[in-house]
Amino acid sequence: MRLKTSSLLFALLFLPIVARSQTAVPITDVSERAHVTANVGGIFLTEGADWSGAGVGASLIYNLHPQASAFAGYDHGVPINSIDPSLNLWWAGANLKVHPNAAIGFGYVWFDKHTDGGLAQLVIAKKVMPRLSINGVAAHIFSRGDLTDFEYYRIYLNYHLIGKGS
Amino acid sequence: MASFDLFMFLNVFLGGFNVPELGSKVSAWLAAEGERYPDLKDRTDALSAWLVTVLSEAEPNMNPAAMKATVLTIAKSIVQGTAGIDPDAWIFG
Repeated sequence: MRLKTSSLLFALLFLPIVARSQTAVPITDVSERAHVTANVGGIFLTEGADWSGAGVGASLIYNLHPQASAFAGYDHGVPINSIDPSLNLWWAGANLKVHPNAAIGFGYVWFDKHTDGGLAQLVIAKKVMPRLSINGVAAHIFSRGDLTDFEYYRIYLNYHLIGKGS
Repeated sequence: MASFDLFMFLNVFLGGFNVPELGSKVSAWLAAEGERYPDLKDRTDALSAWLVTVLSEAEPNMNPAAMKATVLTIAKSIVQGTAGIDPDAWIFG
């Protein structure tokens, strides 16, 4: 059995599916793989968008692999001044876990009706209590609107509402 | 370990692999040897050792430490039936 090592190792990732004599978790098992979280914290957009304020929102996360998950979420931002409008932020993509407390992600993000674009993010997370973590996100937005590319930062408390895990 | 996992993940787009062949070998191993190790940890360790042997035959020049660490992780997934599940995935939401 002569296989490329990289291919062989990747194939091993799927052995739980192939080795039917053991109980594996099907990819469609929503009760085992899906999570819903709620979050509250701060949102900061750099030059171009120039917005900062408090945010509250929720995310849906779906486990694809021990190191990878898909996500989608929404945040409503309240500005810290009386000039800027409130912010409605939607995002979707996939995260790749590269450390027990860090993931990199790629996806797409929509800021209200004016701005949207590709998303590349680094997520740092630390569980501080059962069902509660403190998170930080640093993201680059590849703007498709009138704005130039800008950076997007969030720091927030993340509460695990629904799903297996602690 | 993290960078090695990333490497593996990216390799989905590179080359071919023979999942059924390897999967059938693992199933055969579990059927033949699994009963000898009623304790899950012992079964994980035994399966890991066997997988390392298979990998060593396929690619003798591979980094042994990285290979053993990766195989142990995968073997735990197989034996404990938690493949694809990261209980802490929610923290990245």
